[in-house]
Amino acid sequence: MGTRYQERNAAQVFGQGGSRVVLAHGFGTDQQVWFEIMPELSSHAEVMTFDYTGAGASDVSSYDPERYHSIKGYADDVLELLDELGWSEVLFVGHSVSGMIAAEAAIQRPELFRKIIMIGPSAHYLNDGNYYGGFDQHEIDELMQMMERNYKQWAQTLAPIAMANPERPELSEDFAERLTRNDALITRQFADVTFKLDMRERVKQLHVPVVILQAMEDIIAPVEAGEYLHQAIPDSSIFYLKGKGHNPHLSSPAEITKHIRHHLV
Amino acid sequence: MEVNVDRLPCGFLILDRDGRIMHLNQALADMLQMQAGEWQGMHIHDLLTRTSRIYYQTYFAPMVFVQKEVQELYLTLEKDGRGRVPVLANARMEGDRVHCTLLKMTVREEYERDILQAKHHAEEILEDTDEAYKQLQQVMTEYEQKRRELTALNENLHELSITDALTGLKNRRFLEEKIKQLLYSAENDEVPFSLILLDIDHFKKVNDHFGHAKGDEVLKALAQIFQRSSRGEDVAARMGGEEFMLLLPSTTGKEAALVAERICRDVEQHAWELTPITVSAGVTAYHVGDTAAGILSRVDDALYESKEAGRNRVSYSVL
Repeated sequence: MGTRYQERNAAQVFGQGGSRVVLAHGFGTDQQVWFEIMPELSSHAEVMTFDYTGAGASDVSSYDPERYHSIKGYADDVLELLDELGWSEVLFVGHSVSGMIAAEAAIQRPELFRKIIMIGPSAHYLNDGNYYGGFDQHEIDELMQMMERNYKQWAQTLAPIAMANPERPELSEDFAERLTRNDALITRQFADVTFKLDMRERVKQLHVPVVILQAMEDIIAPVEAGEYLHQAIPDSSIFYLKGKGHNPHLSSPAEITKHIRHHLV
Repeated sequence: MEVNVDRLPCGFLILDRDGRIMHLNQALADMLQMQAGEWQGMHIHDLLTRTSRIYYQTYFAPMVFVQKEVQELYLTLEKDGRGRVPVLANARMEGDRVHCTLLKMTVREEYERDILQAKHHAEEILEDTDEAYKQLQQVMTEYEQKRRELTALNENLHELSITDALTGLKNRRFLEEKIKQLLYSAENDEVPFSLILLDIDHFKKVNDHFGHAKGDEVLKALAQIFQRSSRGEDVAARMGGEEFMLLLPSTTGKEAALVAERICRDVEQHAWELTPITVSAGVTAYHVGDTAAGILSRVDDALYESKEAGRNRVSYSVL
């Protein structure tokens, strides 16, 4: 069994035995967001974390704008990793846009997923008629501009982590510089993919059990967005978290850990 | 000495893990025109534009939790639609609290906006340049294609201009050029050459009896015989009507006469469908001091001699 995709996505497997769990980060972040949850979770399950191609310590040279122009490319990342590891019937925990990436992957290959936990998911971020996604187009445009003002700062925090990766000696300073430049384009495209996403019809074909963890004050994925998904996905349940904001796995890790543990076999 | 954070020359905030404001200093309250203590029970979102809230949630919060600190993040403050204030935020995790300084950058913002505008402008120019370059490449490709077509067309035209359309042999124009070349190399390098002029005997009768179409068939068949009789360097040409010429470089008159004899025999022995065909031939070779007109007139004389002597034969004309 090869490790090509695990290397591409800087995949790491922690713990052993029991359930197999995949933790998938959301837009703008990388697998480091799971550091608070990992210690406890990996003592009860075999847990894989990874970076989507283009994010974190993934192999940026594998980034293909054609492939990643929709979330299907990211769903393929997930399927390729699971196939390479020979994992099926996993408990998949997806934060933010990863919820929809998991939905897409599980519509294609339901046998690989036992259950999906979506933290702060949204099928569509833009308001549209009666649908409340939370955002108007001009706000998305402004966000893109703001990202442009900040991407260097953001990329700089990632570069040293990538540099510290002993598996990738090619990460010289030149490479880090290229990485920084690529990141700006990749982040812009990821943002574009995320905010143009419309899975409202597609999710109705998802037949894997889904648990939606909905924070009460999540400005990115408002309660309405979570509730839309709950009524659209046939086999789904929704829980309202005590933790606030779009990052409950970071701000209230204990509560998220408790929920994930509840769904281990 | 105790430091009073209210008197710091920059905004200072303490947040809990959920982003609720635990403390907000006077400088920040002033920046946002807030009353003392107005911040009680507020959330960081209450101080941010909607876009900055998104940014705070997708970047600021994850980064401060994971990296424990955030540096130089650009955000825009706004309080109840009052005074949009661009700030640079630095933050650090202190236990369960996030300490955050906000440096007002209203003036710096102007510069940055100019720089961004220049950047966008440069990007547009770059895009235009790329586009122009692409178009140029397209034009170049088209030009190259046209040039190739034209060259092929010219070659074709040239070939047509030196070819006899009916028989596919070379025409008189080509032959006359070739004679000039051979004269030149004969004069300068003493390379000999010879000519055979051939004329179909009684061809008018063939045309009159069988029609021009059949006559043309005879001309074509003869052309093939002449072509077969010519070697690599030789040139077989149709001079017009029923007259043909073979130009034999590096060939003496004697050798040429033998070639002519063989041709006459080949023609006579050919299995003609309609009527027996023969040809008469005149042969001559280059002599020092020859001109094109001279050598052509001489070979013409030789042919005339063959006709006079009863046709289907070869005459050799010397000076």
